[in-house]
Amino acid sequence: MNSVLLYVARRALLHFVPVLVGMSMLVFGVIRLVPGDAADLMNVRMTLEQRAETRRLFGLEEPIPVQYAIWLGEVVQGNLGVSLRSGRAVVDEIAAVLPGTLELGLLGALLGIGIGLPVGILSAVHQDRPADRGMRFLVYIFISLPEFWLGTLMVLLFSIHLRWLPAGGYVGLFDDPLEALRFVVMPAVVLGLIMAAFLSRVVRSTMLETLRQDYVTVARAKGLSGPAVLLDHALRNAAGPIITLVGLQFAFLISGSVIVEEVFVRPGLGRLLVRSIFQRDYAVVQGVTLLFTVIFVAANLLTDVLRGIVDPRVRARA
Amino acid sequence: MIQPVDALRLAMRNPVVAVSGAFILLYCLSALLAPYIVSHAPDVMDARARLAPPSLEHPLGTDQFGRDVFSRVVHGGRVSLQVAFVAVFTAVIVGGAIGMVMGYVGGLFDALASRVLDVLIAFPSLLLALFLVAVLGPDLKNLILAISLTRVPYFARLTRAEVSSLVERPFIEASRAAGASGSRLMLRHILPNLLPLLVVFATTDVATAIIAESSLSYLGLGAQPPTPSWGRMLTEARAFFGQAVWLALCPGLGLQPLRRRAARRHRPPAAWPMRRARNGCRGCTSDRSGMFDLTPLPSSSRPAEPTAASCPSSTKPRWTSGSNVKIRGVRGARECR
Repeated sequence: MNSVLLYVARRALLHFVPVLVGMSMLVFGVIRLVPGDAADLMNVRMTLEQRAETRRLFGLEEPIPVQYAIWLGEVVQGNLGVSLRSGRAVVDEIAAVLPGTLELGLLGALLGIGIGLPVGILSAVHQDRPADRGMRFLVYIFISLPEFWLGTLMVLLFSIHLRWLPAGGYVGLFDDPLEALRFVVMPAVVLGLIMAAFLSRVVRSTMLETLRQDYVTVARAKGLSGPAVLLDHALRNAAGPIITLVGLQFAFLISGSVIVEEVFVRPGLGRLLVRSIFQRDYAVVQGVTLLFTVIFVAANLLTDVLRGIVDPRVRARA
Repeated sequence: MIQPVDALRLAMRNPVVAVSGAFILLYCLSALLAPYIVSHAPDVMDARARLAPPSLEHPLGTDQFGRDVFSRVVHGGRVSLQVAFVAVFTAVIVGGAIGMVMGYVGGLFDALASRVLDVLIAFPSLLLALFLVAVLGPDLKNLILAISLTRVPYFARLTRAEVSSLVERPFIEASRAAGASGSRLMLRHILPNLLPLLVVFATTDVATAIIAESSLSYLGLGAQPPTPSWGRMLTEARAFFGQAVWLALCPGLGLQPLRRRAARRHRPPAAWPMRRARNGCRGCTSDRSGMFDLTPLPSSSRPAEPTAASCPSSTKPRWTSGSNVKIRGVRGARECR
């Protein structure tokens, strides 16, 4: 266990902390490239004194590196600034929509893994037989579909023609769980199906590779049952690449949720981001981008940790 | 060395390759010849024919302004292709140049640049593009810039890894001994050896760029109206789905074969000699963004299976040596029997 901890610490310090610092610099720096500043954005009818006051209030008089240091200090303490449009704290704006996105992302990931894993395994076991061919055909279709079109088609079918599910909107999970499920099911299925398609291809190919190994033959020769061989011997060894891919899929879940929320008019981080972009509310854009990247980097760190736990060789190499 | 013509013949024997090849050809042709194919201009409105269903005059119907959907789909493809090609081309040039200097010069520059690339790659691509468009302002030019900037780190890493292995080769040593300068080495000796790799990655990356373009356009951050764009058309059509199904179906149908192209990405064409097998990378990168495809392709979409003799040694996924760049050879030939 000690070696796992050591490995995690080394990965985190040498890779993830520098990356996070770099990202914060980038997010901070790029926003400064925008011509004009907060004072210009807020109100055009300001007197010069009011402008100076606003600039002082937002700390815009300081040199850029000082501004960065102050900003970073605030961010670390959980203060992402104030929305220029609503005047509310960015953290509050984010907190208001976060549950919806988490619900969508988690359900999507659950569906993706829940469908992708078994499909990939079955596909590998039945390699080149009709079941495999059929599944591969379906996988191909879902890989080809952009999220927004799949979502659109589902709205057409299930909302407009069959009238089974609402075309868009959102109900909080704690307000009315059943109704919330009706709202989240289509967006989550869109994310889940596409993620499952990508995942199942990797599962299939890594499984095919491990199933051909000698130790699998030995396990079969020992007289172990089919499922035992498949899950204990083959899947365990195929887990590394699969875990890595699931980690990478977080990027898809993030960008996918931005688009899917737009398709289903579902309040969430993605829609908040897109809306803020149009409103030029840079504090919110900055905050949401930062949160998304931190989530993604954290997911990657978690992936590395899991790989280290599952596979001692990875620990040794890092 | 396989001749290109033979390779093409070999590839066409596989029905999947043949069909997707035909799709891509059709798509490129329709984009090139757009003005000659369609009977209506994409932005001419006809108030009498608003939301008209498909007919002989309007093969795919009309939209809420009475514009011909077929014409808009064809012209939208033109915009997508243009954005994708320019973005990828820029990314290849810039990324390739950065990667080449990184791999050739090495040292502190390499270490610093690698860190910067780490940061850029750690952003999910779409998010980075969104963020850049947010700052630059939504229009077609900025969209191209944003998409191409998200692709630069991948090309830089790829080139760097390849260059750092090429530099070790005897022919470089020989020409250096003969007195060749650094720039001559890079441009005359290293660059020609990079080109096949870059061309393959660039063509497959065009599909990713097209999807990125339509996604951003869908969010309203790409081409601004009245420029037709598939993503944009789907957004604008949302309010009219109930009345006009064709508005939702048609732009999407155009996109459909493209993801297929994206799915075929990273497979070296048969014409490409198997030399990539040397460092275990047959054209697949591990990617933090998820937009790159990491997975090996199903056997049915592969033009030519390797022979049994070449299989066991060349198909092991390995990490390229001597770099912190994880180019991973997810092998292309799982099904070799």
